[in-house]
Amino acid sequence: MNLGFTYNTMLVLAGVALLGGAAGVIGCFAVLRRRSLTGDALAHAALPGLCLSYFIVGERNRHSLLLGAFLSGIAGVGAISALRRWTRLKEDAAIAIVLSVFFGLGIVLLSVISRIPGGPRAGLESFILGKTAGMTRDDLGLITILALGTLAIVVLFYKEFKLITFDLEFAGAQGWPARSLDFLLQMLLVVAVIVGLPAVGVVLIAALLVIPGAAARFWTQRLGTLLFLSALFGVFAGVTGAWVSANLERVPTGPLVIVFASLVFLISLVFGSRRGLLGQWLQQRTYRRRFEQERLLAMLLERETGMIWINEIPRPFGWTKRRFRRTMDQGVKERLLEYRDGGVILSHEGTARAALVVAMRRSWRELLQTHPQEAPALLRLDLSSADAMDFPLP
Amino acid sequence: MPGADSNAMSPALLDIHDVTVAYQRRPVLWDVDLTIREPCLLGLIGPNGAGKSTLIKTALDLTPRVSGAIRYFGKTLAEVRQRIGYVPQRESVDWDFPVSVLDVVLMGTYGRLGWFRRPGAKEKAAARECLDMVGMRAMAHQQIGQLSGGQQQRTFLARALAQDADLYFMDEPFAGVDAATERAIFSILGDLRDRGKTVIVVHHELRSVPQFFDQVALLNVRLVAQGATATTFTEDNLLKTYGGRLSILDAVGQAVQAQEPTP
Repeated sequence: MNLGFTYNTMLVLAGVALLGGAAGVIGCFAVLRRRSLTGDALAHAALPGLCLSYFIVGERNRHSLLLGAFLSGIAGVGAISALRRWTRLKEDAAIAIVLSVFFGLGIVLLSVISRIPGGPRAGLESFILGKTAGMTRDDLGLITILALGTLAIVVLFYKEFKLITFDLEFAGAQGWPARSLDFLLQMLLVVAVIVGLPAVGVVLIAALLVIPGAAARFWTQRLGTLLFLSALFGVFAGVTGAWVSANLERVPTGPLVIVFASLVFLISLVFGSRRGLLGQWLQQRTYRRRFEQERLLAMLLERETGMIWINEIPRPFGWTKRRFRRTMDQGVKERLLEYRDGGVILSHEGTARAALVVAMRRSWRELLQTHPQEAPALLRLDLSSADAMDFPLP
Repeated sequence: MPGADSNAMSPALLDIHDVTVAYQRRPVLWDVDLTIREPCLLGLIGPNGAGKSTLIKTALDLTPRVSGAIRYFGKTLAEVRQRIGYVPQRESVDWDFPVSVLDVVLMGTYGRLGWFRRPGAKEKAAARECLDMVGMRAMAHQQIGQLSGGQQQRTFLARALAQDADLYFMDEPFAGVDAATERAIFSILGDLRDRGKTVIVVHHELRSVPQFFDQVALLNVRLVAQGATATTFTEDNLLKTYGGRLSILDAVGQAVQAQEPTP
């Protein structure tokens, strides 16, 4: 095992970094345009072309192989459009058919090639799961040109791509060549897939397109930031995957890249600032606790005795004892409640708050009855906005 | 000849002539003629599948037509693109898209900006003003995913306003919006007409037609009738458009009744 950065390792890492970045950016648009599966179908459809071009050119020339892959990938996407257009098949069915038919054909061709005496079977097979070890300076050159070209086009057409990805029809109505721009975006997807094939492989390249964008979605709501983050995640997944693969014998690169991409995705899913699971759970809990507190305050105000025993769980609440105690403790901590004779009563501050809660709820109910059509707006009101509005107290 | 009728001194604002559209050999619009000479609020009325949205999309060249000619202000669409505004159906886009309300409204200025130029301070100021007109200035920086249906519709409307067109097509702007939004849209429509603009609105709810529109076009694959609401929005014409379906007849009765008390 060699952890040093040899010339070759540097070459590979630079290559996958560029690849990951470009795939992340283009993948974002694919996800937003609901084309996640197109990338997958494209990659699988590329395999037979790869094999055929091996038959035709005869030896393992990288560029001619990629050209074959490119053409058959486009044929696959064309087949999907044709199936959708001329038959009653829905898009998902069309994608599933094209993906499996082309891939099956590719595998058949691959096994035929493996029976040719002296056929370099291993060379072609690395396209299935990806291998970066064999990357040459030549390959890096091609990747650099295409990846930087892709990024340059996205920067140049940022406004136009944003428009057609959000609202293709509006773009068309405004006079933009919306279909052509969309086609350009799709071609960039094809290029990203084909260039990524040798490194990540037919089976998993779609994941490198989709996962960084999907992960970035948990952190931002701005398209620019989304593209940047997605590129960053793509670079990270590519570089770590390739680096680990270079240091572990016989582990193909593709799966490792996806493992690291998935790691980023999982972290984003849980901790993401926008709709991350943890954030959502905390938000829900905060809301529930506030709701419970308001209920307790209102109940205390409406009770004749003005107090609730600590050991009592008022029936309409249906709470557990622990939850009830916690709500009381929190209320005391916020000086809304006070402990008195084995129970709690409202503090001075608490009484005012409780009155507000009760008044607010009553008005709310009345407003919902008298103005049911304004319900959506009414639902947005809460205690803090009531405070600001100087809600009339009873 | 389009626009060569009696008062041919100034060309018609919109002249849809002999338009036929078919999806896979099944006609959706058949020989439709629709001419608008004066600025107006025109309600495009007809049953489901009558081709209302298709007519709009055809007029905007988003759907290919089998035959027919469409002229705006006596010119072709390509010559006057920026003077034509469009409000698509609200459901036609993904509202979880990562852009802010202001971003969406700014898209209205893209056509004027042309290739590669990004919106600047001037465009942003204009977009904010349009948000003001729909009562959503405070929400400029909110993500569109947080908007209610009515707010989504207002955002779309603001985007169209930002384009500052002379003729607008709106595809069901009143569908599924709250009362406040309905009022807001209605007042903006009136405002546009007062400024000499023309608005063509696909509309579903018959009862509000006399209140909202001064002109109507009744469409069911063919154009049944077009003209001033007072004279064209009649029970007779509605029957020709909708046929004798019971539920519709009810609505017709109510609509015509609603029309009568208005001075």
